[in-house]
Amino acid sequence: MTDTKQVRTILIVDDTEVIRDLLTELLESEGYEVVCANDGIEALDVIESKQIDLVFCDIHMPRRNGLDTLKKSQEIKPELLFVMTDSLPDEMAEAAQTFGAITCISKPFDIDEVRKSVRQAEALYSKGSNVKRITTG
Amino acid sequence: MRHRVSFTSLRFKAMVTISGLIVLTSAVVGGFLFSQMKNEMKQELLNWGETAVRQMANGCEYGVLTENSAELSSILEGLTVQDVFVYAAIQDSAGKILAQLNTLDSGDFMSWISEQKFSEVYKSDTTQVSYWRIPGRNIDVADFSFPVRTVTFDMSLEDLGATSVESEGYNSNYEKIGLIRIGFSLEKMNNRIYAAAKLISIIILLVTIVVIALMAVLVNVIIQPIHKLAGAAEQIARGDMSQTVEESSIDELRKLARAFNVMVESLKQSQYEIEMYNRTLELKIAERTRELEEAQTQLVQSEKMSAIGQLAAGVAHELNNPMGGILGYAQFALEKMSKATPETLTDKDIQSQIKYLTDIEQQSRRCRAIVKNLLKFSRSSDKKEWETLDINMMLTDTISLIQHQLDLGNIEIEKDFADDLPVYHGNASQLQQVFTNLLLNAQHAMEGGGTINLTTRLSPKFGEFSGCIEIIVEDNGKGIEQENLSRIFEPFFTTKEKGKGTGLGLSISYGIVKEHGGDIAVSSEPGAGTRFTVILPLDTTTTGSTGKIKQVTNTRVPSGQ
Repeated sequence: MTDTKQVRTILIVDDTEVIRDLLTELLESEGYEVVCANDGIEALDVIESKQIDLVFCDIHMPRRNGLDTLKKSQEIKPELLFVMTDSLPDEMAEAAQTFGAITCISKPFDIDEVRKSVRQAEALYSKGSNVKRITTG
Repeated sequence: MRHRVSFTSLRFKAMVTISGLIVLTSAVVGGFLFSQMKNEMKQELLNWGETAVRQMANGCEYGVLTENSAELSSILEGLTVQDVFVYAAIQDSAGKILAQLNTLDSGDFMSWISEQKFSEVYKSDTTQVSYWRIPGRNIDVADFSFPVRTVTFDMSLEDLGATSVESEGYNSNYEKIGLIRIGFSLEKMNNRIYAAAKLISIIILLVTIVVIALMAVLVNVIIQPIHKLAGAAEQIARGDMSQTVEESSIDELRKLARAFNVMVESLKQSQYEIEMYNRTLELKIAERTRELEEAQTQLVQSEKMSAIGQLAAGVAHELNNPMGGILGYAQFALEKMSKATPETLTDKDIQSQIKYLTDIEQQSRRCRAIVKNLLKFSRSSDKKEWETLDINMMLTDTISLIQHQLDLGNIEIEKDFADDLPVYHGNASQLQQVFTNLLLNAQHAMEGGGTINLTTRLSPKFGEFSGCIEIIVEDNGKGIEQENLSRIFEPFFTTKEKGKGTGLGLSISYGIVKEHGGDIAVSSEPGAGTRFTVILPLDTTTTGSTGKIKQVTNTRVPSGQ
């Protein structure tokens, strides 16, 4: 175990520009590398082609919605962590977590919630893959 | 009371019939009396003439035997005392005139005598009567003739046929020795007959007049109440129920008047009942109409609320995105500025602060627009707020309201807006409801996504048809089955699953467009797509015109791509 952050590159998937911009600005200021995608299809392309450690993913999106993207990603890269962002009804948030999302933050969110969820992801990485398996199980 | 002369009236008919009968009866009675009288007078004259001529014949037997003209003339003189005497003559058996007397000039008399075929008259044993008119004198005369006889005793006759004569108890026989004829004037008798006829006529005329006058009075007595009854009935027919008729003194008419008055009373009663019933009915109708109107308004509003409900998640998302930006940037700015001091503040920091504030402002505007749009849409329909609006702008607002919904369904909207549309006068909220409905329906018809072609165009004024704006919503979705196409505007008709639609969207949309004086046309081909054309006339004075839904079934929908 080292102190080195295990979350380096974060993918932001959202069809709303202002949200992408805000998250980019926030996460870059925290020192992460940020990649953006407009929708689920673009996101999966990025996931396949790039080393991504954490995904902030909107649920309601055209073309491919967030839950589908999450499921598809689990097939390609089961270890990849997802934080869902949306103004969701609670049951949908629960559904997202059963599909393997580590948490859900609902819009409009505090920037501290974003920071907290990144830290959550980092904690999971530092504890190793066991925890991850429990979460998905 | 006014009376028109009518040939079909009871009065006329009764008067004519009764008068006719009276005149006929009078004429028959008069005629009978007259002929009776005439016959009697004639008979009297005949009797008198016959007696006179017989007596004269007996008296002049000797004169004729002796052919004593002077004696015979003196006998005839006795006749002149009779005022009716005209002439007298005594002839012998050969027809020779033995004596004559006349009040006329002899020429006329002699010529008549020669005409009278003496021998024929002479043959007769009884009184012969003939009537003639003396030419040029105008005197009607009754001519009596009788043979002058003498008694003879015929021995040979007694020998030959005594038995027959003896059986009659008659031994004597008469022998004609001459003829006496006397003419009596009929003038006096005729005058008497005329006078009698005149008297009878006058009496009959007077009686007829009096009887007709009495009849007229009687008829009036009967007719008058009938007239009153008819007048009252006419008044009632015109609606004046205050009419009653006074009872006549004639039993039958009194009964009729009573029955009439009773009838009027019950008519009044039933009219009053009908009026009351009508009034209650009107009240009930008004109440029901008001209830229906309320229900209608509520229905439109609840359909709208249902649409808003469908939109709620989308709208929340729409709002939460910019609000996320606002909240995030505000917190971000706060964090940075709370750590900064004037000394440490760099230009870069200021630049980023300006960026955050700009973003916050932009996102706030976006929120404001969304909220405004939603409020505009949810505004109650029954206020009938009509305003001048730009159709293209209204459509753009509608799209932005449901943009997120459409995005989620992977629906793209291809706009083809005419830039020459005039301003339109209508209810923006209601029209937004129509197009929200049409666009969301189009989305539902295209599961998995597709393209909606949204076109606006101006149909120019043509003849008596004022110009109109056409808005075409065309999808390339699953289309509508032919059997459903005619029913899609029916209330509560839906092809969606239970709980997914109210079945009111299109019927309410149709109602809204109708209220704008417009129409919705639909054409669809199953499997190829559906096209709705909303026609909004620019001349809104024709609002509520009687347009019909035009249905063009199985028309190939041109591909909008």
